[in-house]
Amino acid sequence: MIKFFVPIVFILTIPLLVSCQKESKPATSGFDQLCEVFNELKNLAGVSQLSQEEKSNFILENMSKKIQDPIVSNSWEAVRQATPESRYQIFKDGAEEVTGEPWDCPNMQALAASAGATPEL
Amino acid sequence: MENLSKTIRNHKNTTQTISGTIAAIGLEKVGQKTAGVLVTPAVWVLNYSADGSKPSGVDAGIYASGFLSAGASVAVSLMKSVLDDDLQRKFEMATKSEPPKYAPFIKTCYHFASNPQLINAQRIASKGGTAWMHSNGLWLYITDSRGNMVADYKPKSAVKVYQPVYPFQRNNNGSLIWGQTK
Repeated sequence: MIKFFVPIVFILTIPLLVSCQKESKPATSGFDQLCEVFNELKNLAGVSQLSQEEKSNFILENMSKKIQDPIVSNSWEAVRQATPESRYQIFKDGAEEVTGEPWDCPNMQALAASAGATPEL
Repeated sequence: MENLSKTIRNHKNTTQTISGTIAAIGLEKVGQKTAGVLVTPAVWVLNYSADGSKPSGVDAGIYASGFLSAGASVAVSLMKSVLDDDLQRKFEMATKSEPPKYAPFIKTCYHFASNPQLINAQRIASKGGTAWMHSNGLWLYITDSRGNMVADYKPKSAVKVYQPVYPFQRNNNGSLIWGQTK
């Protein structure tokens, strides 16, 4: 009797495990959410008038409010202190390593150099 | 397979404890008799792998059933053990690529904080340290004998290096400006 049920239980368990795995992946990653913060900065009225420090603070404040994933905030807090020209590529490398998928954020690419830490004069 | 058997042997006690947890869950959900049948085989499979011991007079189909039913947590434990072994093997390979006098001060970025190793490498560089990726994919960093970060270490074997850029300059929060130097 048990021999009869073993293959049935096994076959029924596989789709359940697969569906559980699919559901565990969030619809929007924290990296995309940070990209959205950069999109908001880009669309902000008068963004071109903002100082580097103001842009940097906008990103940090919104990141702390909207992003739950500590990996993303840890990454940006480190990357914002890198050389302005390398920030986007380094962050992108991290996002792709963590998510395992290609990742792009054109508005971060445009603004990362002027929205990070300010060099000491 | 040799390595897997060795890992199972080394972690026999841990995995049997996990099987005990599975037994408790099984007793609640499917009833004592069935749970007993389903759980025992997972322990038997591990014992057999570890020291060749096996029970007698039990149907082999039930063993398979038990291993598959109770296998998820056991598999996670075994997988973690195998990964730890893999990490150790890569770490030894990577440290051998560097001058022997520095070997005691080289660490893996895996254990720096609870982030993926590349994110930890970014954090290490932002704190004034040098982190590099060996050709085997492992990220490493180096400290001095007091545990302080080393800003200007030049790894012998690296496919990517994150560290403060020379000439050193600080951000207005005091951190050194870093970048990818290789």
